[in-house]
Amino acid sequence: MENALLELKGKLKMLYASYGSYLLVLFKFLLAFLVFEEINGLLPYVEGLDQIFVVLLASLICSIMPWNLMVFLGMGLIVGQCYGIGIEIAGFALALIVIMVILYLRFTPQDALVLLLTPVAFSFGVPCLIPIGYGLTRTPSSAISAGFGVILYYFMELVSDNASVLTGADKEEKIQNLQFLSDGLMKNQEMMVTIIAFVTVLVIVYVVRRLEVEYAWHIAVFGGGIAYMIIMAAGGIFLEATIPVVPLVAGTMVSVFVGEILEFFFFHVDYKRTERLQFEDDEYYYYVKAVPKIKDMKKSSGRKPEEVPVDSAVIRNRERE
Amino acid sequence: MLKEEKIRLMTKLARYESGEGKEELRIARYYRSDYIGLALFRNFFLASIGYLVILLLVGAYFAEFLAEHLHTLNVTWIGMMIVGGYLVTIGVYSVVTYTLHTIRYGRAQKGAAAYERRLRELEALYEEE
Repeated sequence: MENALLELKGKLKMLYASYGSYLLVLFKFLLAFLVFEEINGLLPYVEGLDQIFVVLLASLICSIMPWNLMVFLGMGLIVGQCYGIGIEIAGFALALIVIMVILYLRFTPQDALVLLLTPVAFSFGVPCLIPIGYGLTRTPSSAISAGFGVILYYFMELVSDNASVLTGADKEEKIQNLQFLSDGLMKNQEMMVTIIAFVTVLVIVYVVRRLEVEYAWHIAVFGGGIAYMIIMAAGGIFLEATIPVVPLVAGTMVSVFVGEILEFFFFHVDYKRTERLQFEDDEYYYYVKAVPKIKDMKKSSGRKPEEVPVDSAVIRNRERE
Repeated sequence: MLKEEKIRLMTKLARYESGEGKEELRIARYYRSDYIGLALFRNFFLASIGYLVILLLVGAYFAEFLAEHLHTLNVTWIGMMIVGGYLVTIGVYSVVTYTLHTIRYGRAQKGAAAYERRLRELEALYEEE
């Protein structure tokens, strides 16, 4: 088993080193497609935005552009779909997003993607995956971004569940709609419990994975999963709400499983990918393909292994004409 | 004649330029005071917009109440609360922005210094030729 895993590790490293750039494009395309489809699934109110051609085109653009374009388009899609119900709903969505971005996410733009990943994780029944994944790969400051992701998801769910009553024609009804949305979010105790669970799990996973003990990453993943179940169950009892135990346990188990896969990738596989660089001097143009050296790493503590420097270069050059 | 050491150095420089150096070299071009001052200036506007959006949402939420009780409300007190909240928001965000950009500037300076060192090494190699 151990040998098979090591072999797989080696193969994955080679695969990523050689085809990392293409795999990343493919991954971004699939993720963007999933995210946009999920948003359209929850908020299908503008037909033009819900078309597969539009989604595919947007995903294709996202696959070759920086990550934050996906966030930008995703946010635009949410606002656009809300506009299908009413301008005040779109305005509320826009205000919510602007507040999140201006007051926090502008300081950590690399965390912005979590706003879109959280709704996707919820719709797949594996919300716990977000705090575990971000706890494994990022810093505790991501907890705030993850909290925003939860708020955005519950907002989308609120709109989706009440779309039929949110259509108001006159000014008074529009103001009532805004009050309804504000109340729906502010007084949503389930959302509050979920935010507490997200923040706690993310911090636990982060702290534990950095401990210098054997199997720190495994303990972090399992500990995070257990903490999530306990907080959600305790929250449910406290709120006197019926908790669907089976989906909670099953979703957490799947999250822990995916967390273990992440652990394998982030801890064992240092995926540096082949880079193609282009520069010139007075005599030559250089087209350099820098291929990372594949080295095995010792697994000793919970710390991430040191980076393997890229120092081999396959050089092709072409004399200046 | 191709020189392996030179190509290796140029590769490292090119990797930095197309990676983290893109942002760091841009930051390092500023004077420290200019970089942080500009960030604070931008922060002032963004934080003001953020505060205004929150205020609008709160206003919309209490629109009916405000319309009905406007004559009985202590407008001066509400105005002071709004201004006080605004000053606190701007103050807190200015501190956060200052701290964050000071750290970023320091990091960029370090990265840019290493880049310059390599450039000088490359220059020395050229002079050898």
